[in-house]
Amino acid sequence: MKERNSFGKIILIAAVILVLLFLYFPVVIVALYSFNKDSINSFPMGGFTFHWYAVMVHNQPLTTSLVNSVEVAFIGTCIAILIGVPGALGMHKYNFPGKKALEKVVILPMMLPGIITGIAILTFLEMAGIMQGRLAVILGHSTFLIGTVLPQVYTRLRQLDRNIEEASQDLGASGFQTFFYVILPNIKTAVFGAALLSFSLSLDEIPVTYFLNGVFTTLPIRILAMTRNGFTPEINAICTLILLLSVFAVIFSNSISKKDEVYAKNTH
Amino acid sequence: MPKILIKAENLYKSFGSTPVVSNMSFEVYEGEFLTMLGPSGCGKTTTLRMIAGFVNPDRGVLELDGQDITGVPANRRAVNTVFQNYVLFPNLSVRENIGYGLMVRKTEKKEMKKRVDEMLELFKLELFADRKPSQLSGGQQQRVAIARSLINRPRVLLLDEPLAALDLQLRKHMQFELKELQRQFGTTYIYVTHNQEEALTMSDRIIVMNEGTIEQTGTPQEVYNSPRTVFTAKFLGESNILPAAASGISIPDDQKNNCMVSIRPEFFHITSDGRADLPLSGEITEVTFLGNIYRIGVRLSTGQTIYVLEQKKNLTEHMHVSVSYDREKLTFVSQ
Repeated sequence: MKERNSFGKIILIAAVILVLLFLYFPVVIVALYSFNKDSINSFPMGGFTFHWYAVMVHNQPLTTSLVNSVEVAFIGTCIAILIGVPGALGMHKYNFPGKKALEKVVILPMMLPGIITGIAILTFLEMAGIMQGRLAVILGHSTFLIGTVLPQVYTRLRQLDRNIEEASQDLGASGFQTFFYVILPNIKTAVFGAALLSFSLSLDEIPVTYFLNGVFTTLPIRILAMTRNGFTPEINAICTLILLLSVFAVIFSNSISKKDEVYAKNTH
Repeated sequence: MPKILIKAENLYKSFGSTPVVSNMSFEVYEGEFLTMLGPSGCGKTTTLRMIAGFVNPDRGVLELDGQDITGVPANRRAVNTVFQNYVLFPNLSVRENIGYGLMVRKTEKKEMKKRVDEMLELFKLELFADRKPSQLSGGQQQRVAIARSLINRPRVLLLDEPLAALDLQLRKHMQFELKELQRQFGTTYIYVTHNQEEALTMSDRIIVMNEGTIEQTGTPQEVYNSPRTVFTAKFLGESNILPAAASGISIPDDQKNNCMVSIRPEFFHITSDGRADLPLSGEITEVTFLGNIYRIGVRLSTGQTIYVLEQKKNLTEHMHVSVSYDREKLTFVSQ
């Protein structure tokens, strides 16, 4: 019995190591190469340098696309929050026919392949007379980001006591007061987490953007284009930078939602 | 005659096609402790929520202090609610929870602090003022919930099974505290519960509800001692319901519609000497020790089993006995 146990243990540990390798080895390699003195991605590395970071900073199209990406991600996230949060509130508050179906449908853009979402939004925007470009990309991103924000906020609202709004109203609060004093403070971490996730999803989004950008380039589109003409090491540098930012964002959003879960558990 | 504070006329509410409250009419007097008692699903909570303003009746009129408040939203009614699971605001401290009603009405800071301090003191919560609700025990949360509801000095305090979540000992203690508080403030209470013992010990008057209608209204003594329906007799305490004919009683003319009688177990007496002049006789089927008294089941010759509370007097199972009862304790009831 003991033998089998330890054998099982070895397999499990091996599986964990494999998973970690598959997930993170390529990422670590990219990060390593960003400091490679040689301009070709190969081992052994010719030495350590920050050169590619300097090249990256001076690569105007690359930095422009980064600014574009951040702009799209920021505005897209804001729109998604401004529509998704009230949407979640409405869905939580009112019962209407088809609510169950809607609960499933809102997250559809996240599950649909980006290509289909991209074509659909392109067709729609063309009908609406919106040309490919910055506005189209922002609207396209907002659309699928709402599908990220709404379910997250909605789930949090459902964890709240249903009567909490009534309690506030009962004590004399208006709808606005109830929202700002009671509802928002209790869902703010979910809203914040959803915003972070939206931001990073938007930042590395390719398929939807690809259909909508026209001549407007975002960072992932730019990188994709650069790799076509041969891989240059500054791509490693910018990827490493983004990776670092994402890691911080993930750790941050995890830590606040953890704190919140403990909190929710104690109050129920 | 005390002043009528709340008047409900023909309140009707249905969810879908099922009526939950059908044509309830009742009055609540100023300063009284009124309990709505009934099994779950009888419409008592819906009635309370209509008074609070969370639910609009489909038909009927609600008056508070002579004013029609039927369509008035909850935040503009001079009534406050203590919810079953307290529903404290988890993001606010005890002090902020208690002061919430004053805060949203933009009460002046100094006045607010003074009144919150008073409440903290009254409810012995001074030491917990800066804690979050999640850091309090059930009993403490309960006190915060009541303090929060009383700070607006409501005309009526609505309590929706506020003690249901507490353990027995704490519940007994809170029953006492609630009653004390009500005497002290003279606030009108409307209390909803399915616990008949709670209703009997705390209330000035009880409205017994069943299936969305009122079965009977009266003081605890009235509804317990003189139930008018089988439901009331059975729901409040234990009762034996017998067909009037079987109990050998001639039905008075004014009770012709009521063909059943209700007799409490404590009003039966068992005699083992086989007297033939007693109307009821049967065989003892069970003897249960309750501490101060025995509960004895007797299967009558009609097949029905009645229960009797009795000092034991050497009664054992399978004994054949006769049962008598106090005539004046017997109540005619309708189905």
